[in-house]
Amino acid sequence: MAGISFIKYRTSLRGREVRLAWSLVLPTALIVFGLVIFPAFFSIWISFHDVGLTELSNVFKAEFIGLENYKNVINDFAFKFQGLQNWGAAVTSIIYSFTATTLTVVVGLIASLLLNQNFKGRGLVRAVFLFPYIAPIVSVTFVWRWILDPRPSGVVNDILMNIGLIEMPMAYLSTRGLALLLVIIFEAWRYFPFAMLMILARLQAIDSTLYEAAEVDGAGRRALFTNITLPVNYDMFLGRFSSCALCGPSINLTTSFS
Amino acid sequence: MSSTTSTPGPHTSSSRNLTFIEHLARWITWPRFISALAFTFFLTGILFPFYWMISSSFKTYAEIGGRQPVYIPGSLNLDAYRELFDPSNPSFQNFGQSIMNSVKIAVPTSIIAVILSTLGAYAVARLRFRGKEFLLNSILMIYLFPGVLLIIPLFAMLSQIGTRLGFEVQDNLPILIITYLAQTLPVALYMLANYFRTIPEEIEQAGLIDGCSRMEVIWRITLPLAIPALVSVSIYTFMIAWNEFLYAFIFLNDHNLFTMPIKINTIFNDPSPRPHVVMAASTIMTLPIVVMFLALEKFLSEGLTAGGVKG
Repeated sequence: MAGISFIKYRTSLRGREVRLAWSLVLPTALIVFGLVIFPAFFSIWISFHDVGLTELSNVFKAEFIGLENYKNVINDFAFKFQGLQNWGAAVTSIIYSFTATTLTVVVGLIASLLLNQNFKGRGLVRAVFLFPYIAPIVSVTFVWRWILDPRPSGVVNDILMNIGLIEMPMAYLSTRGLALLLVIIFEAWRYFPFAMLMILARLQAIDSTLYEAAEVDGAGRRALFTNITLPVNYDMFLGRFSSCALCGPSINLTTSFS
Repeated sequence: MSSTTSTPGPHTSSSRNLTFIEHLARWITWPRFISALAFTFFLTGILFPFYWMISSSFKTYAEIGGRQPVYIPGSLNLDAYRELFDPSNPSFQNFGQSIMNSVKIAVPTSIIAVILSTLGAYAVARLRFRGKEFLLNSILMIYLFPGVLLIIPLFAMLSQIGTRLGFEVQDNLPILIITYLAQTLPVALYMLANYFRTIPEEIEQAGLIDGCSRMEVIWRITLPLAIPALVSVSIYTFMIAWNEFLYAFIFLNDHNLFTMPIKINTIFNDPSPRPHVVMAASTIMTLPIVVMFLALEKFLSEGLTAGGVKG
C-alpha cells in the first residue's frame, strides 16, 4: 500500500511541484550552506584546535587543545579591559556596535523625516542621500582618511584652525577615544541611508487618515510623532539593533583562531 | 530647492510687487528654517567627500603636498590619470588591467546571482514544500556572520577541496565569484521572493490552466512582470562584487589579477604617498556605480525596501 501511495505521490501534481521547488532552490541552498553556514560551524571546530596560519592547508591534522585558545584571548592584553585608559577590544567592540547602531538609526530617522515632506526635486535629493551607501567602501574610506589628515594640509585641520577651534593640527585617527568616535561617525555616515530607506518605506505606508483623525481629536505635532510615526518603526529599530549587536561579539570570536 | 510653489499662499495675487527678500521673509517659518538647515547639513556632509575625491584627482603633486589644502584645483590636471593608464609614465600602475579584473568578476557574479535567485525565489514565493521556512531562515542566517569571521574556515575548507580536486584557491577568479555569490544570494533571494509575492497568483494560474508548464509560466509571465526587481537585484549584486575588499584581498596574490579595491590599497600603501593618484583611482571606481545608480535609482530603492519590509 505504502508503495502505491508513494508512486501516486511521485506522479501527482503536488509531488511534482515539491520536486520542482527543491530543484529550483537547490543551487542557492548549496552555495549558501557550503560557503557560509558550514564555515561558520567549522570556525567553532577550529577554535578548539591548534591551528596556525601556515597550517591552513591541512587543518584536520591540528591538535585538539580544548579551551586553550579561549584562555589566550581572554588573557590577551589587547582584548582585556584594563581600566578607563585602555578599554581593550572586547569593551571597545560592545561600545562601538551599540553607539554606531544608535547613531545610524537616529540619523536615518532624521533623514527620512526630512524626505517625507513634499518638495520639488525630492527624487534627486533622495538619490543623493543614498550616495554614501552605494559608493565603494574603499574609496570613501580613503577620502575620509585624507580629509582627516594629521598634517596642517588636512581639510578638517585647516577648517578648524581657520575658525579658531584648535591651535595646532591634530592627529584625529591616532588619538585614543577620538579615533573611536570618528569611526562611529563614519559608520553612521555610511549606513544611515539604509536605515533611512527602511524607515521611509514605512512612513509612506502610514495611512494619512490616521494623522488626520488624530489631528481632529486635537493631537499636537509631537503627539503625532510619538504615537504614530515612531511605533510604526519599532520593530525595524529592534531588527537593526539585534543584527548589529550580534555582529560585535562575533568579531571578537575571530581573534580566537590563534 | 525652491519650495514656494508647493505652498500656494494667500499672497499670490499681490506677489508681483514683492522683492525676492520679501518673498523669502514671507515663506520662511521656524520649521522651514530648521528643515532647510538640516538639508544643508546633510547635503554638505554627503557631497563634500565626493567633491574632495573628484577635485583632488585633478590636482598637481605640488597642490597635494602643499602646507594649505587646495579647495579648487588650478586646472584640470591629468597627471594622476596618466600615472594610472599611461605605460610610458615612470610610475605606471596598469589600472586598466584592474578595471578589467573587476568587470570580469562583477558581471558574472551579477548574472549568475540573478538567475539562481530567480529560480529559488520563485519556489519560495509560489510553491509549497516542507522545510521551506527552515530553509529560508537558515539562508538568512548569513546576516549574523560577518565576513571576517568566515574567511579563515572558508579558506581552510576551500584549500582542502582544492588539493583533492586539483585547483588553486588563490588567484582563482571563479572561486572569488562563488564566494561573492554566497554573500549576495540570500539578499537577492529575499528581495525577489518579496516582489514575486506582490504579483497576483491568478495570472499564473490562468497560464497553468492554458497548458503552460511551470518553467514556461516563470519565463513568460512572472519574469516580465518582475523586471524592476530583477534590475535592482542585478545592480545590487554588481555593486557588492565591484566594491568588495576583504575576500579579494585574501584570495588574490598576483598583481595582474588585482581588482580595483585591492589595487587602490596597493597604491595607497606605496612608500611615496600620492593621494591624488588614490583619489583618481577611487573616482574611476565610484563613477560607474553612481551613474548606474542614478539611472536606475527608482528600481533600486523599490527593490531594497521590498527586501527589508516583510509583507
